[in-house]
Formats: sequence, C-alpha cells, structure tokens
Amino acid sequence: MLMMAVFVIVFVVYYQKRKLEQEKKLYDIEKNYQRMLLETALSSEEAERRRIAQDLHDDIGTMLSLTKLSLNQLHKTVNKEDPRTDFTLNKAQSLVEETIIHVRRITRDLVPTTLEQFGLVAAIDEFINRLGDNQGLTFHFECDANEIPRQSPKVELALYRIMQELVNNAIKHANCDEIEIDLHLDKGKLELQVTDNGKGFDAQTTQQSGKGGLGLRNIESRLSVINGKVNYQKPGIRGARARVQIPVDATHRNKPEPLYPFRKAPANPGNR
Amino acid sequence: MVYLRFFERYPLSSLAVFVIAIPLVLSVYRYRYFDKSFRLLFIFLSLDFVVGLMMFHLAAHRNNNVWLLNGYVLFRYSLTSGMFYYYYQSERLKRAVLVSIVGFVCISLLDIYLSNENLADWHNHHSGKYSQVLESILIIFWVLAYFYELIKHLNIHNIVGYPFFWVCAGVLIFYSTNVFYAPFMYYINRWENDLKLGFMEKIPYLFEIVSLILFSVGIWLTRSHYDIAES
Repeated sequence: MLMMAVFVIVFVVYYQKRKLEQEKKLYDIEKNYQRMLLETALSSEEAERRRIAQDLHDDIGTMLSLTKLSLNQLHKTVNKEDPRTDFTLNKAQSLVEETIIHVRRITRDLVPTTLEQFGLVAAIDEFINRLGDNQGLTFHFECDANEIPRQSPKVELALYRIMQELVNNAIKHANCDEIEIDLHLDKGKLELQVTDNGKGFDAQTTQQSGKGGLGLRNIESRLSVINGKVNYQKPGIRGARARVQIPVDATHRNKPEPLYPFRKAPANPGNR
Repeated sequence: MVYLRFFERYPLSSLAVFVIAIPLVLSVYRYRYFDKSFRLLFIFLSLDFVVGLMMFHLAAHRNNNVWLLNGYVLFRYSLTSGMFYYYYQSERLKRAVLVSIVGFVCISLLDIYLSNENLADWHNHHSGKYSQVLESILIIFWVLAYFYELIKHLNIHNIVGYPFFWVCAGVLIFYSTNVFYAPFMYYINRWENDLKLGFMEKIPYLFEIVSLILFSVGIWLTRSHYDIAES
C-alpha cells in the first residue's frame, strides 16, 4: 500500500507534467495554424489589392489615356466656333484627366510601390505628403532613416498598413488637426508611434464594443503575424498615442525582393 | 527522568511527537500566506502536538492514553477531510466530504462504545476496532479524488511547487501505512495479552515523521506559491 502511495504520487507528478507538455504542444500547433491562416488571409488580401491595382493601371488607365488622346484629337477637328461644343470638350478632357489622377492615386494606395523600392521611411513620407495636401492636416514625421534597417517585405508592409490604419483612424474619428509619426529603434525593437491631438479614445472599450474595433483588431492581427505588439496611451489631456513595437530582423538589412511580381506572370517559358 | 527513560525505550514514537514542532513552527512563520485549508492544517498540527505531548506524558507515567487517541481520531478526520473540502472543485465531492464527517463521527463514537465493555474504566480503555481503518480508507479516497481533479483540470502548472500537493503526499503516505496498521491497534494497545508485531509496530511512526516532513515542505512553499487552482 505504501509502495502504491509512492507510485501514485510519482505518477501524478509525471502524468501532470506530460499532459501539460502535450497541452502546450497542442496550443502551439493551434496558434501556429491560426497564424498561418491569418498570414494566408493577409497575403491573399495583398494579392487581391495588387490584382485590382494592376487592372486599374493596365486596363482602365490605358483606356483613359486613349480616351484623353482621342478627345485631344477630336478637339482639333471639331468646329471651334461653336462655344458650346468647345466647352463640352474641354469639360470632358478635364474630367478624363481628373479620373486619370484618381485612378493613379487609388493604384498607389492599393500597392505602395515606394515601400517596395525605397523602404518604409520613404513610403511613410510619401503617404503623409499626399494626405497633407488634401486634408488640411499638419503632419510631423520623425525618424532617423539611416538608423532604421530595411526589414523583410512582410514586416515593412505590415507596419505600413498599420500606420495607414492608425492615421486614417485619427483623421476619421479623432477630430484632430495634427498628427505626429515617429519611427525609431528602441532597445533592438523597431517602434512606430502615431500620436494625434484629437479627442482620444479608450482602446479596451472600443475593442469590446465591437463598433469601431475592426481597425484595431486588424492591427492586432497584422502584428500577431510579425510578433509585434501595440499599446495605446493618452499622451496628455487630449489626443491618443499608439505605440507599435516589432523585433528588428537583422537578416534583412539590404534591399528586399519585391513583394509580388507587379507584372502578370509570363506563360510557361517552355511553351514559348 | 521519566520522560527521558520513556524516550530511550520508545525513541521513534517519541520522536514522532516532537517532529510535529517543525511544521508547526513553520506554520506560525508562514501563517499570513495560508488559505482556509492550510489554516485547518495549522489547527490539526497544533492539536496533534498537544495530544501527542499529553499521550507522551501519560505513557511515560504508565497511564492509559488510548482514550485520547480515540477522541483525537474524530478531530483528525474532520480537519484532514476539511482541508480537501476547500480544494475540491466538484460540488458533489464537497458535499460528500461534509456528509462523511458527520457519518464518520457517528460511526466512530459507536465503534468506541462497542469496542469497550465498560466506558467508565479508563485504565482498560481500548481503541476503536474499525474507526481508524475507516478513517484511513476515506482519507486515501479523498486524496485520490483530489489527484484525479488535479489531473483532469490541469490548473496547476508546476505541481512540485504546489504546496497542497506536498500536504496530500504526506497525508497519503501516512494513511497508506495506517490502513494496514490500524486493524491491529485494538489488539496491540492493551495491558494484557497484547499482540507483539516487533519492528512492524515502529513503521507507522517512521512514516508519520516522513509525512510531517512533507507537510513542512508544503507549508514552506506557501510563500512562493502563486499557482492557485481556479475554483
């Protein structure tokens, strides 16, 4: 009986440890699977954006350029003495030009080509310049470009999208007139801070309410794929600050490969 | 001198009484970290120590001390099973513990009454025939049930650092020895025609010391323990 008692004690310790290890393994597998699913979903989303951008650029863009060309030719041939015709043609031309600009902007928003070519700092810079022109907002972007190493395309894209989401949130919901973006290295981690001087918000309440928490959940999903974390602070009486931290990947110090081939994949070369 | 002589004659059983002081002192030292179960353990150890000293005193003066043991068994079972009451997650087990305490007290009293022809005769008082066996079986069952819950729910991540696990280990070892020794107690603890088991009689004291050391480990661990089972 005593031997049995000792056996029971040893068994409980052994079995408990083994079962906990199994549970941990299972949890890790499940977590990895979830991460993989999320990664696949995000990749699909990016591929879809790219496809739409490509279609816009190649098809709609080309068509619009041809339309503009045709209108120019038509402008030369039609009777210029009729002021109504001239006015209508000019209006059509300016509309087409405006549409071309819009299509270009949408294409750029869908696929940040600057990010691929020049990196995160340049892409953020371009993004805030573009927004600053239109929104009547003041942007401050602080970063030491030489200090920030290039990251893997996946990480750079995730950070860029997060920055986009945070800035868009500030514009849409914060009622602010000043946004500050800070990108720097902090103890081996890449830190992105987006601070606004708007009305501020409580991240926990927003996420729990489910009303406006989709953007915040998207940020967390993207961060979970790249092992990053985010926390929201109140910098002062007004405003909100989002601090995003990701571990610096030392292996991608050089210019990375493009995210996805922008041009359509050629047909099987063997069949040519 | 009487006490020293008794200590020389029965070193192991005497030592078992004084070893209680170790977990008891540790309990005082760690009392602020104690939950309800460990407070019951503290009461149990205090009572055990007092009863042990009284039994030691009576035995040294060659007086019958079995009546003390008979009375103590009732409290010992109530306190030990009470410790499990607070750690069980299952409401059915909790209820079963409460019912068993009431049932055990009744059965033990009846057992003491039936095991003694004349209850007024303190000199020839005998220990209960079945109460300690029943106590051992019940406590072993409660320990095993607790271990089952522990494995089933997996609330504790580091079981070796879990204080109540060590208490359970001590309780299990003590009662596993007691369950085989208890049936003979009625025949061993008497003035005349007593049963001689030789070294076997010393084994329970040896494992009582082991269990007290295990209790001490559990009590010591209460401070560093943050692994509280969700209930």
